[in-house]
Amino acid sequence: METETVVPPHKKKFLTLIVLVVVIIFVVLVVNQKRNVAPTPTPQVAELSQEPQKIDFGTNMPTDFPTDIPVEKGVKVEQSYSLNYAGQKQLTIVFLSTKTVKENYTLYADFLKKQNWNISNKYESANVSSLYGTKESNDINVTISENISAAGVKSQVSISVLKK
Amino acid sequence: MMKLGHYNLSIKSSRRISSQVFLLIATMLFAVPNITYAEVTQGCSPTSSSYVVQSLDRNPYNAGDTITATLYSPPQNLTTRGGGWVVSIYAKVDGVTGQYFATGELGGKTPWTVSTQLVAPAGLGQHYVEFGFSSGHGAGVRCSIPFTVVSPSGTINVSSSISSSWTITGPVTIPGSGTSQSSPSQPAGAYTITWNPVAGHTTPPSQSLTLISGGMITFSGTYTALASCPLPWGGSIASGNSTTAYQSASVMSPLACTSQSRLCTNGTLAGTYANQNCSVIPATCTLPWGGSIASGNSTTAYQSASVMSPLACTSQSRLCTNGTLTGTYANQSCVVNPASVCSNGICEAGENPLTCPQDCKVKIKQF
Repeated sequence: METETVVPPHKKKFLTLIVLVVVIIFVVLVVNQKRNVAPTPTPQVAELSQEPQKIDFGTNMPTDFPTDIPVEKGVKVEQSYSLNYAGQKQLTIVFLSTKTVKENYTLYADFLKKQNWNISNKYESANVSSLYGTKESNDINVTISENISAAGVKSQVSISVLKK
Repeated sequence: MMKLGHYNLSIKSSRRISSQVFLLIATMLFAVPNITYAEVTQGCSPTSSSYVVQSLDRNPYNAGDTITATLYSPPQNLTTRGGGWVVSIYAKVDGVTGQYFATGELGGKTPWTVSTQLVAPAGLGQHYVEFGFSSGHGAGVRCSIPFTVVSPSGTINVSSSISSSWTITGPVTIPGSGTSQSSPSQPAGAYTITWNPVAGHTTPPSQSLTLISGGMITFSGTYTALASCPLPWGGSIASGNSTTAYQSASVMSPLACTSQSRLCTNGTLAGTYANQNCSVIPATCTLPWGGSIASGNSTTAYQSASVMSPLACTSQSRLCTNGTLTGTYANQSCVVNPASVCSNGICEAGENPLTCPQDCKVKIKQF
């Protein structure tokens, strides 16, 4: 025997309202859940860059260039720049010298030795000589080449310091 | 009744409830979530309240380098609840976790940063930095990022606009020549190239570049041709070259040719002498009887201009050598006079009153 329950109109409205509210709350929760879900992050791995950022310093010394490295005074600065690599910075100065290749080689060899640089490569020839040293996390490359482009000039000195 | 009453109460307050519900909905829709912690549910994927990102300071690394890895969780600070994060930097060989370079537990709010030196047992190849949730919510979740350890070497390339020679100095020294050169497996470091001069061209300035491990650098040199110099006698010479020029095309001995070296510098020829060659003309010889002969020629000269028969003329050949005449005879010709006959009544040449008084009588004047 079936009995038919008669729902009063006000109760019907109330139930409808309740259902509506539940539905809305459900929708809101779903929407909010989606808003909280951020996009999948991509691991940020630094690319190996071979195109360094170059900063030219004209005739001035590069910023951060070690001040204790001897640079002949009163000479013409040919190049002065820095190259910024990922995790490394190269500082380079090139100047003309009134000293001979041999004189400069001796000067910088003595300096690097006194400053406890570890000389890992030495090279001497008739017109080019160089010294390569490391100390702590820094490298230094001193290259001296013959140059008689101007009166009184006997060589060109290129010093690159690599800071890691 | 109570239910009915409740319903009635509800109905009576339904409009008020509806407005509150809508206010709640609006708040949920537009308010920024105020989340102070996160529960990582699946690796590095988005979580219910935040997400995490790992980063490396760079990649790849040399063996011996220091690696720095960071974990952060924008936009909120990420904290843990009921557990800690563990970070591991380890090697995997064929997908199997090998030895750890570093491991440790982190806590507090992100970002978290860990650094370690990639020393033994770091080998070459791919390795991983892994952040994991050790316990509590999200335990067992692992979030890893690969990195590569490479040998500290790279490739150095050289490109020259013309055939030239150079010297690369740095951790090693690499001389080279030609128009290009590729030197693989060179140690990382700061390198400088010094270009050698080429006649008639400008020399490129020295360059310094840093070779990153596993990377490649290229030195490029552009030689620019300098203007050549036209020569006074035709033709031209390249800048940087020199030629010998003479003041005069010829000089008479004993004078010598005067020369100078004329250097061409980008279209400008130094010096003033305008002759390509110079010859020294040998001196002539003046003859004793007048006139001259050219060097290399000879003439016959005689000891006497005449001789009396039966005597004969004595001659010699006199050679002219650059103004100097050999020999001593000074007569251009020689005549042989017939011998005189005494007593023929004629006082002939060579006869005199003493030698031939018959023919050459002395007339004595009587006063």
